[in-house]
Amino acid sequence: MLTDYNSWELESSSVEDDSQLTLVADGDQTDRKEFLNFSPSSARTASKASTKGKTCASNHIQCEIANSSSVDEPGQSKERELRALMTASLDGDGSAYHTLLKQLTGHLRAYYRHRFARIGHGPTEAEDLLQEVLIAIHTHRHTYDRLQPFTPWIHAIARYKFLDYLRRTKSSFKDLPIASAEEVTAKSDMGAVESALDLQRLMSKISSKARQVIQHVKLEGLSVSEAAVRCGMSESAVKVAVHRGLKALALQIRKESEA
Amino acid sequence: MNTDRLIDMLSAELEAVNSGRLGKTLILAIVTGGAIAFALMLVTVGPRPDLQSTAHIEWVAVKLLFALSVIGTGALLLNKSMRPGLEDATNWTMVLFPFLAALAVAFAVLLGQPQAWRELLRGATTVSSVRCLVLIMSFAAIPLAAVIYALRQGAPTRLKLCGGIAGIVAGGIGAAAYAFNCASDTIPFIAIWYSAAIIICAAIGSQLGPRVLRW
Repeated sequence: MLTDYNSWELESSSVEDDSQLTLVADGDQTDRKEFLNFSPSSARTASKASTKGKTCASNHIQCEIANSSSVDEPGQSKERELRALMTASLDGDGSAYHTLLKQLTGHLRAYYRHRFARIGHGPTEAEDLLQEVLIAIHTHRHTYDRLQPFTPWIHAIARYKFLDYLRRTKSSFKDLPIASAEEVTAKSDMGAVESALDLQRLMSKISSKARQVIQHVKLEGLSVSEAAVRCGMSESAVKVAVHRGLKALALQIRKESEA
Repeated sequence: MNTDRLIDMLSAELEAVNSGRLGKTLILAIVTGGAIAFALMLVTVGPRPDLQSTAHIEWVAVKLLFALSVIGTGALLLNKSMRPGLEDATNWTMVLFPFLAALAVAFAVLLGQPQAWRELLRGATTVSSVRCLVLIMSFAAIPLAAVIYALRQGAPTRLKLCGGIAGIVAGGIGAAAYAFNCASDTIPFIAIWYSAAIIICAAIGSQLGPRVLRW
């Protein structure tokens, strides 16, 4: 049983962290230079500074300024981009939300594959957890405070879900890398694999009302009002049923990994 | 299942959400829990009979001040703990401030009047201290359930910590209700026994947290 969330984080060294990160940089769209820029770890910052130092050794101070800004900027622009998408999503902009989830999927896939490789679990299981996390992000999107930065929010969820996965699968874990909020957005992996989860079978386990409205609204693309007419329910009842149904679906996915 | 299909599904017919609702739910849970605890106090032990006297009302006010500061700091932290990503920027030790302040005042009082030590430790107060513990904890039970219900609407990521603080807030509510009945009018009594009752509630909450707050 995992009780202390922080103890294991302190055990590993950032040097090891670095080598592990390099090992997983195999996704087709993973840009090594990009993740170097995002990474806040002091070890990597130092190594980057040394390579840059060769090219502009003439002016030491100028070089330092250039390095510090190049380390921070991409992480910040990523943060700005994701945060703008999230804010639009909270206002109900479906296409912004679609873009956001696509981007997060890439980052989370890289994040989980890296960790799953270290506990001896494969990419299919990582994809299962990724899907569970996407539903969790969706059903808990109201917990994001627009006044706060977005990256720590998504990182806290990603990490919580990983620890929860370890606990319920009773996986052993050792020398996991030091986590920092920017780590989730540091890399992206678009190499999707089919997860082992069967949507139709999972749907069959939730209540028939929830199944019906999810089928109409989320899969057949009916509007909430059309679905309301077809199911003989009020619009707000449809919204509530969709929300509860998705939560029930997430619960079913979680149960699958326990079994 | 294909992840792209899941994303299409989640973003279809997206509803706008109100992220301010979470804090309101928490406040509502605390107020409702408080009302229930107060009503429970009224129908079980009732308020102390000598409440007409100004001096006794002042003591109720002192006890309420302590209980409300515990609830206030705890609620502030709970509001943060239900939103992921604020963990590192939050000063969690803040929850201890009201207890430390009460203990400091109690210590000052005890330094001033050494005979108070004896009063505090003697048999005369044993009955009232056990009574204090039992009643505060009983009054805290329903508020704890209410606060946990509110937290389940959020996404706490440190379940033990969050459950523990929920216990502190619920204990504070129980203490506020008990304040109307409590006849032990000394600062050291409040600092020690009220705090002890609330800390037991915190221990219960932190044990419950990982079980009931998972999402």
